[in-house]
Formats: sequence, structure tokens, C-alpha cells
Amino acid sequence: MDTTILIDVGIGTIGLGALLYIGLKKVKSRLKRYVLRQAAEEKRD
Amino acid sequence: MNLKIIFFVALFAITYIIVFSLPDSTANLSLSPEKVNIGEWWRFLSYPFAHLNIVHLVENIAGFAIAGLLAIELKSLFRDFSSTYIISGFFAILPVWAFLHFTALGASSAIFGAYGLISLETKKYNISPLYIIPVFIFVAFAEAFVSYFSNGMSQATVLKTEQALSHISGFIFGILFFSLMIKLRPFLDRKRLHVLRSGG
Repeated sequence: MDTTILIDVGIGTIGLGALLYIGLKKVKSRLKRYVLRQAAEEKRD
Repeated sequence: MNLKIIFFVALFAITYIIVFSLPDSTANLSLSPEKVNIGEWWRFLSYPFAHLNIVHLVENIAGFAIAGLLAIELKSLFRDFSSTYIISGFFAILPVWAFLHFTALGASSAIFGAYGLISLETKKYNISPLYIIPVFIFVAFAEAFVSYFSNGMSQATVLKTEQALSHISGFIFGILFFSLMIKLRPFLDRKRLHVLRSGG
């Protein structure tokens, strides 16, 4: 009888994926703020 | 918002739930070397859809949903995400399975294939995949490490290590397949343009 391997992603991977998602959202919002600030500065100049 | 990716994730999640609700789905659909040896070849196509219990099913659907959300945030193309997921799901585990001869079931090699794609796609936001890839590999082996330090080289540790190897196989397969897709993209786009032009 061979062994059975449950191929489940596991809580660790789900947590890592969620952290990556939150981190990515933060990076995107910072980039957006940076672009808007640059545009506002260019407009002022 | 990439609705195609949302639809794709929802479609697969519903399929997993339907297959899970079928009687004896695990026994009839898992990739068992004994069953394959007696000619049940359809198991190569059915094993990613089979799940043993509700925890296994919920974890895989949650992992897949997060992979889908990440792909949407990273503006991945639907064709890249879907093809990497499907091809990894069917083929990624086979090298490990051929050597270690275990009964395999579940979709996580496909999900890890999708995470392989995501780890390369982070380059779009100047996040180096070299930060992401080792963390995923570490997390994949984490349960095996914990089992080894608490139980030594027991049967549980061997199972967790085989499981981790299956995950890493999916992850690396996803990275390699998506890299190939990127390399082939100019050729595929040219071919599609040619078909559109000839159609017009």
C-alpha cells in the first residue's frame, strides 16, 4: 500500500499570499500618491 | 478589474466543490500508482479535482482565491494565469510522483504554479522575485521542519517532506512555464495578428 499525499496549500502559504496581497496594495497606493504628488509639483512649477 | 480571472477562479472552486460532493470521489479520482498500473489512466486528469476532506478543500480554495486576487492586482494576463494554473495542475507533480510513488490528490501543485507566476510578476512593481521565491520555498518546507524538530525522522516527517517537494515542484514548474510564456509572447502575438489580418 503506497502513502497518500494530500496536496493542500497549507495555512502558511495562505498567510504568505495574504501578506503579499496587503504589501502589494500598500506599494501600489504609495506609488499612486507619489505620482499624484509629482504631478501636483509639476503643475505648481 | 480582470473579470475573466474572477470567473476562472469561481468556476474551478465550484468544480472542486461539486467533485468533492460526489460519492467516493477520493477513491475513484486520486492518482494512485497501483490504480494507474491497472490501466486507470484518467486519474492523470482527475486527481487535481479530488479533495480528501473539507479542510483540504477549503484551504485549496482559499489559496487559489488569494492567488487570483494577487494576479488581478499585478495585472497578469488571463491567458498567462489560466494556462500556468492548468498546466501546473496536471504536470507539475509528475516528476516527484514518478520517483516517490505516492497517491496524490488535490489542486495545490496548480496553486503553487500560480504563485510561481505571481513571484515573477512582482517585477512589475520593482519587487525582486529573489525576495519572494525563497520565502515561498521556506514556507512550503515549514511543516516538514516543524515535524522533524518535534518528531525526528518519523513517518509524519517523511509525508510532510514529500508534500513539500510536491509543492516546490508546482512552484518551480509555474516559474519555468511562465518564463517560457514570456519568451514565446512575441511569437504568439505575431501569430494572432497574422490570423486577425488574414481573417479581415
